[in-house]
Amino acid sequence: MSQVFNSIFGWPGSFVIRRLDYLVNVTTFVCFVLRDWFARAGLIYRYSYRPLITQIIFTGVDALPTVVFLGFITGFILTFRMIELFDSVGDAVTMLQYMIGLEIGPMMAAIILISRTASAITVDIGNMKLHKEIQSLELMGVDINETLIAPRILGVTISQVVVAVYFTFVTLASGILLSGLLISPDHYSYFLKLADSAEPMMLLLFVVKNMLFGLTIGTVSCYHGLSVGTSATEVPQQTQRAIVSILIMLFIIDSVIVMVLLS
Amino acid sequence: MTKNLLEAKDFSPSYADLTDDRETNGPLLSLSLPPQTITAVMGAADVGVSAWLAGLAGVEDPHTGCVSVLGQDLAYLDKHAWQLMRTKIAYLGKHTRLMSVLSVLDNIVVPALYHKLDEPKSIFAKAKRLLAEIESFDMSVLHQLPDSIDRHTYGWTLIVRALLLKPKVVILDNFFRAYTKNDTESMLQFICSKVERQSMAALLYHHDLHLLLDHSTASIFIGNDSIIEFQNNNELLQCKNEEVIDFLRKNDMGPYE
Repeated sequence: MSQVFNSIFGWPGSFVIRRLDYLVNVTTFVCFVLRDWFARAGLIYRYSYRPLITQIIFTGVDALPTVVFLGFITGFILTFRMIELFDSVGDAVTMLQYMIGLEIGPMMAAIILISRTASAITVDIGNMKLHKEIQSLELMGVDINETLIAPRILGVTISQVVVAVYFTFVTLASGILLSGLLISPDHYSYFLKLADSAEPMMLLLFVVKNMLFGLTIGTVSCYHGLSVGTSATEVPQQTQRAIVSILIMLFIIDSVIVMVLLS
Repeated sequence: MTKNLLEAKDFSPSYADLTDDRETNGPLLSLSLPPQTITAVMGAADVGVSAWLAGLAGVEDPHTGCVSVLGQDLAYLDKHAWQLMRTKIAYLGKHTRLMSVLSVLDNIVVPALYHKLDEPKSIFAKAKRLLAEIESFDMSVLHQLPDSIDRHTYGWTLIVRALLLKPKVVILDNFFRAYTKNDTESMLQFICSKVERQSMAALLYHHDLHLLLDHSTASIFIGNDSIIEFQNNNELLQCKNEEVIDFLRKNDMGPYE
């Protein structure tokens, strides 16, 4: 009887325990990193300021052409179609706000960051770990949480908000412009309608959601980079694990936010 | 206050890849390193000299006994004290690396900047002064990434990075393994002159016994059953211990060759 019980509940139970264990490890990791960062000198700290800026430039600024291009295409695919479909129903503004502003914008920005930055961070830190660069630095008394990890996590968090802002803006603006050009010039009024209907709570939610996304992307990619052991084959393995884990976690976070909003 | 820079009492190291009972039945090391001493560490291949040096450098916890540097027991340091202690012990091993994402100059100054040993301008100036003392160092590589510099420059950069922290104890664990004999000789000479001038103490381990003994003032032999300290090379060469004799013979040294 107990064997049957174990075979039914054993695997799912073990899976859940492993996932929870992973979540606890990642949460503990980010808490330690942020504690070390703030304990030393607060947010603006001279010797990790440069890596922070470098990370923001790599993630938020260098990604601009890609974000603009993808935002324009998404604007045509989604914003344009939503205005076309929902204009007659009369609820297109709300649709645009929630679907583009709060769902598609942050998620697409996150996917761009995952493919560009998360993989780069995991490979970068993984290789540093593999080649004992991190150990060599630690043996000189340098805390890598302050100098390597925290700047990356914070840089990605800030960049996610920035990328999401300009992705959402380009997506909405390009869709409205195209529908104004191709369907009816009346559709240009959506610029004003969207601006009028923007609420502070919605903007706050947008920022908080993107910060959570950014924090997750930065933390998980660094965590997996540091999980690389002694073999070069672990670098691609950890990179793949980081990307999958981030995607799953982002969808879970998004679902939780939707549930909170519904309640 | 202690006069010795490094002291070990009944010390034995932890072996990560333990396959026998060395940890429980091996010899214990008691050692005192006063300033301006350069001690060569030797041992048979299966003794694991690197494990002993890692323990003495505070990189690994000892299996037995204690190691103290500047009077502070390395086993009882909190995180902050441990970080500060790392500036006092320059540990250069065969796996010591530069950060691949930082330029040569940044690699040199970052630890010193991190520990706020001086004003940033002064740290940069000191780094450049130290590099200028090395005749063969090509100053044009300072802003290049470590991957684009030659092995010789890489080694010197590691040495200068370590010395910029003004350590009191220098531990070299087969650091010169990847360098030519000429490079090794000039690097050893540079380090030894710094040890003498700046009242540091050094523990050296290198596979070339001739080179090692040429630059050391004393030596320690770690055998499977015993540890023997020698105050000079003559004592070592006249030693009647079977393990020492065998070791010297294998290294083409002494009257036994």
